[in-house]
Amino acid sequence: MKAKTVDATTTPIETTSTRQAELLKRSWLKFSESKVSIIGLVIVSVFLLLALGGKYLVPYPEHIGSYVDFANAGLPPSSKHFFGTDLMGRDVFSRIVGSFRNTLMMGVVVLSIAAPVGFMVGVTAGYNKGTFIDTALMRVTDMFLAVPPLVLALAIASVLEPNLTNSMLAVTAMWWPWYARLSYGVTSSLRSENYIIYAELVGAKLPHIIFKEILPNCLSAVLTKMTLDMGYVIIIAATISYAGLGEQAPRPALGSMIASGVKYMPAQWWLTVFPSITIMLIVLGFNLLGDGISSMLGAEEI
Amino acid sequence: MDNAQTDTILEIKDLSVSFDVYGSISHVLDGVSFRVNRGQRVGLVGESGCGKTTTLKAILNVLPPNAILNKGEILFEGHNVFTMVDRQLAEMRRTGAGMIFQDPSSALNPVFSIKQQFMAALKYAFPPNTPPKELYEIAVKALEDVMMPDPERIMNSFPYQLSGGMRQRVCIAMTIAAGRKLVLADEPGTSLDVTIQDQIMRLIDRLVQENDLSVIMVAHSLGVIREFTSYVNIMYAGTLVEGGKTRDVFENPRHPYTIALMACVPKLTGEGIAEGIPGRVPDYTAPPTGCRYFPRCPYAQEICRAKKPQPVEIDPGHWVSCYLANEVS
Amino acid sequence: MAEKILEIKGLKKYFPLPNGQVVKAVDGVDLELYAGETLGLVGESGSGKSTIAYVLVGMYEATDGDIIFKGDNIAKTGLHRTLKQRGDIQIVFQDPGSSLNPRRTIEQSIMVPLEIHTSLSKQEAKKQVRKLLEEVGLPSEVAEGYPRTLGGGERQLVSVARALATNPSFMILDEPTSALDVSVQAKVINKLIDLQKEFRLSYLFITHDLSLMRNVADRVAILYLGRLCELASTADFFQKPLHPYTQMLLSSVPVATTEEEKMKPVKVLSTGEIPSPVNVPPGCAFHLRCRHKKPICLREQPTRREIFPGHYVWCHLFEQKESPGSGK
Repeated sequence: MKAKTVDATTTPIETTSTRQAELLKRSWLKFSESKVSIIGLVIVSVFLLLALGGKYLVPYPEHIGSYVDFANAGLPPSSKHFFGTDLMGRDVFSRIVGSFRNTLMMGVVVLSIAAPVGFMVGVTAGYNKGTFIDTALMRVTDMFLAVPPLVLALAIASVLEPNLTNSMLAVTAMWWPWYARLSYGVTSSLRSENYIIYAELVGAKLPHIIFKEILPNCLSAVLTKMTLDMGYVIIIAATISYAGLGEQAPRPALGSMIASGVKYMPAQWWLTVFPSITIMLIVLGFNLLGDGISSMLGAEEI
Repeated sequence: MDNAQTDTILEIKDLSVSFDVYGSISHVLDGVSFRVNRGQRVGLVGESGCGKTTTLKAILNVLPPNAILNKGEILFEGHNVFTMVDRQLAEMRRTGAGMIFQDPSSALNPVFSIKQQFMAALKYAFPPNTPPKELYEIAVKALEDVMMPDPERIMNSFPYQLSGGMRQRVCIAMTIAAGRKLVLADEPGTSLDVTIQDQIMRLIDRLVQENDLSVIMVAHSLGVIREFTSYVNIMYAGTLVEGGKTRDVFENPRHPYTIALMACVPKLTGEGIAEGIPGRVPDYTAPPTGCRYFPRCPYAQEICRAKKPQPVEIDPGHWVSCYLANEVS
Repeated sequence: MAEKILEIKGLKKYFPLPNGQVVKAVDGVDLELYAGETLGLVGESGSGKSTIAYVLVGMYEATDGDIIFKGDNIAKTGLHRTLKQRGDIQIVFQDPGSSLNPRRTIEQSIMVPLEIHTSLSKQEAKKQVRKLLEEVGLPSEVAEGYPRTLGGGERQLVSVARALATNPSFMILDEPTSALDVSVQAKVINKLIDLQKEFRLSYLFITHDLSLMRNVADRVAILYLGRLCELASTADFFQKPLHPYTQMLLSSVPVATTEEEKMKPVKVLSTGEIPSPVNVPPGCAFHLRCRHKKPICLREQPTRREIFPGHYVWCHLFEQKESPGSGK
């Protein structure tokens, strides 16, 4: 028998940093597998940039609030006013960009309340699957889901004083049940995983199990849904403001801009068409981004 | 052999397959060659991820879209499956070679009755004008052949109403009834209990004899391979390391991997278990140069790293891909 | 004889189904376990072997019967047992894919029992994690990684390290290697054997693999449909299997060498399938598949008979201590 002459290389333990870089690269490849995800990322980045720095980037920042200049009212799109001016003489482009801040805030506030509330309801019900708690929580959730969401939001918004805060409240109230359903599904499938069972057996407390064991596993699903939902929240918010129940004049909102412009169709078409296209683009952007994120995170599962 | 042309049902020549996994290329199969003669039972042994299933999929030309065929060919009755026209390929899959899967519950569609699935499988395997009644009778006969009690009742049941063993019998019946000549059995008993596995293996054994079938039996259980096959190929990390008559290989393993693998198998005689094989299966995106086993091999030499060893016949019909084949035992 | 640490008497675990039927997963099992020994529990699917494990660790409460662990009856405590008892009885699960949380690092996973069962500071606990990993033969760098960077065998070893964290005296190994390749299984099994000696652990080793059992267990218990068939020391058992089911099981094992072939009893062809535990046949649960059945087997459940010292069988054929057909 021969003595060994070559060192048997033991399996190299990859260092954390190369592993991290490798994972990042892989994530990007998965994300960009469908090229439209990149378009989504670009649209959303532009939207975020304009929402945060819009005031400093638009040609007529003062037009965002109450401003009147009848001399320049109702001008069609030109090099001076890309999207034309409205009947008060305000620059439509500036007002559209000016509305982004509230649009973004709407989405962020609604989702950052709806997602945790929904998660807690869903995880509590899912963890106690088959018990009274499960039945009670999920039936309440189902009740919310059974009412058409827009009707519910409009009902809530119309009972309350019409303003941005209340419309956020209304949309939040109809949004959490979706997160409850999602977390419920994930939790009840995790319920039989051995690591959850082990944590129970060894005596881990409930908060540990929920926040340390279950939450990290729900995170990718919840984050994906939040990205996709940004688009839908923006549509709902626009609808509410179209009905006159959201942000009030003179502050701009995409929905109310369409509503006030629609009377002047088709002559002053730019008052309606540009805000509508903007909504479409934003929603499209979030959807494409969401798809990319879901293929990125989804494939990384387990 | 003189009449190799007629005697060989399947020949795999220098098959190399890679997979493109999000930009990184996994070089899985590297120069796999073996042959199955008519009526022969060939075993393919190796541990998970060594490329056994990839080989079977390549035979049916059903590799996933991210697979890359680097080189090699697979001749089924003399025709290369990679260059067959669609009609030939379909013909080969319907009546030439068929697969029995490891997991019988996912091989059957849960929403269709056994009858619906069986008839659909037979419809394409027989001439288009065969009356359904005749096909039905063939199916019932096939179920009888696999020792299913009350085949008529089985035909009208759904997969969930059957036990794992019964589902596997149905799958076997479907594969055999179409009159296929080559059966690719991918761990057919692994997901079943040992007494049921024993029954299934005996069943396949009988059907193969009665219908004069050729079989490629893929398994990680050396016991199953020894009891069922007449010829065996040992696979490690996408390469074949040793092959020969099953008895020769089992009684006189010569490749260091085969030797180590056999030592790891717990024996009923109970002399304890070897320490296992150090290290891991290599990363396919950067497989070792030369012999793929050298990083784990206690006898590795400089040449093992430098150059891939070619198969050497050490006894008649018993070959080993190892530079040290004559020194290791 | 070593100290008896566990005694199971008449253990039953039934699961009622919504349609009124009852799954009798475990139906009257008596077992004893001594300090430092490995008791192999062998059975096919539906035999109730995992249910016994889950009752022992407290996931289920027993329907009936006693489990005396170090003097305390824990049959019906479920999870309401003392922290000490929880730590003293540990389990390693079968599926390496599901026993560790994929979203937490190995260190975080092993910290869980340490935080609950020891008073170590965070720093000390981290050190302990690495010590435990080394104990099971893994490099301490593994601690920072996630389960997906490890192979199946390494994950199982991490589960073993996690189980050791509470300093148990009794470990339930629920098919710890059945999802692993043999070369990996060999490493895990040898490690388990070393650890048993080092920490004087008692193992309840659950498996369906008789060849593996031959090499790890001191005594073997065979389970069929929630009841015991045979219980003997490993050497006795493999030399002279008595119960018809045991003989069928042993002769069904595919073996890799001719020497093993000789170990098998005269080929008893396997027939039939295991009935559903919802419909356990009356009398002896095995009579539907038994070649030697007598009228009494259809009516009465066999009771325990000691045929040789320490070699028990539950079978009517042994009323006059006779062997059915042949053993060897």
